[in-house]
Amino acid sequence: MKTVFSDNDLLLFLYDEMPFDEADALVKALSTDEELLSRYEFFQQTSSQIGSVVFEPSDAIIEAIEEAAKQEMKVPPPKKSVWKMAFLTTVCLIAFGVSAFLGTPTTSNNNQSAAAVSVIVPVSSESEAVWDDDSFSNQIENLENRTKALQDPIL
Amino acid sequence: MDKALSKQEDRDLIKAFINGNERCFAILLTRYKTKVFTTIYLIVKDRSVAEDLFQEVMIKVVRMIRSGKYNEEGKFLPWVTRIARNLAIDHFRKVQRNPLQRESEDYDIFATIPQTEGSAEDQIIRTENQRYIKALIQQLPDKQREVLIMRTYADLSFKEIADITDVSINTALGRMRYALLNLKKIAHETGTLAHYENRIQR
Repeated sequence: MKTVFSDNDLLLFLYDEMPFDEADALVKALSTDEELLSRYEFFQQTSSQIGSVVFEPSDAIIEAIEEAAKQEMKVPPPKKSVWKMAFLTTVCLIAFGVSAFLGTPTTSNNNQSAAAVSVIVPVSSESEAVWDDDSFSNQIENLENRTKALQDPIL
Repeated sequence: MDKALSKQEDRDLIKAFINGNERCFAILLTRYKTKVFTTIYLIVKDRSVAEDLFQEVMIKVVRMIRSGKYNEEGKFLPWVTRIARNLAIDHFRKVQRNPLQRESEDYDIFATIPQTEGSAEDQIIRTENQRYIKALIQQLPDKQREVLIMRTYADLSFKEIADITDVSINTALGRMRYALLNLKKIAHETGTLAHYENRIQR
């Protein structure tokens, strides 16, 4: 059983927040320990003095709040199904956006797939510039010629 | 009908209010208006600001309940107090950003005291006592004042205060302890306590 009590314990007891068995032990301690009793009386007196202060809102404010509550009652609360619809629409839009982003052709595609995709996706002027660039074609041609030269059986 | 309703628990009143019974909100308002308003008033220290915030809190409460955002069954007051505290903090932030918008120190104390039974002299003594105590509380450091207000006027447990203020229960208890000790100290330093005790004895 607890025998030493702090000021926190006294406050818990004062405001009826102490477990029953501890409160029982504290009552016994208060009957024998004068120092503990005087500390308790101090808290009890001070809290009872300040507890007498009470303030009320004006009647006009109460009436205004009641009127506002009535007005709120006239507005139908937001239905959960509306939120569900909004959520599902958002998910669909995000999914469509992601799939469209992932489906865009890249420069690493070969000519055949690029041609196949170009049927579906309109090709931008920038990507057209890459594929129709003469210098790019010339570079490929040079590379092919070098490869052929390296493969020449005479060399 | 209202008598039967007023005996119902908070959660039942809230359910009935969601189902369209607006009287249930009026009963909740009557049940908690003093605690919530006193809490706000002692935090913001200005009656007109407190009334604006109180109205804002209650309208927010209505909207949140109606939109199904209230799910703290049986803990209506801590939930409302949390909203009130957050709005009070928002208010202080706005005031800090705009220092021209200052709180008025003057307030009509007579307008804040509930009409109770008793002679005119009793009323005056009660009013003066409230004024002294309010002045003492307002000299406390913010965190101590906050815990003291929530425990004494909003009637929240230390566990609930700890949750709302995001501290441990021991910290909340420690702040309360210092608040009570400091009240006594401030009262002695300013001589307010002697005046107050004389009033009590009369």
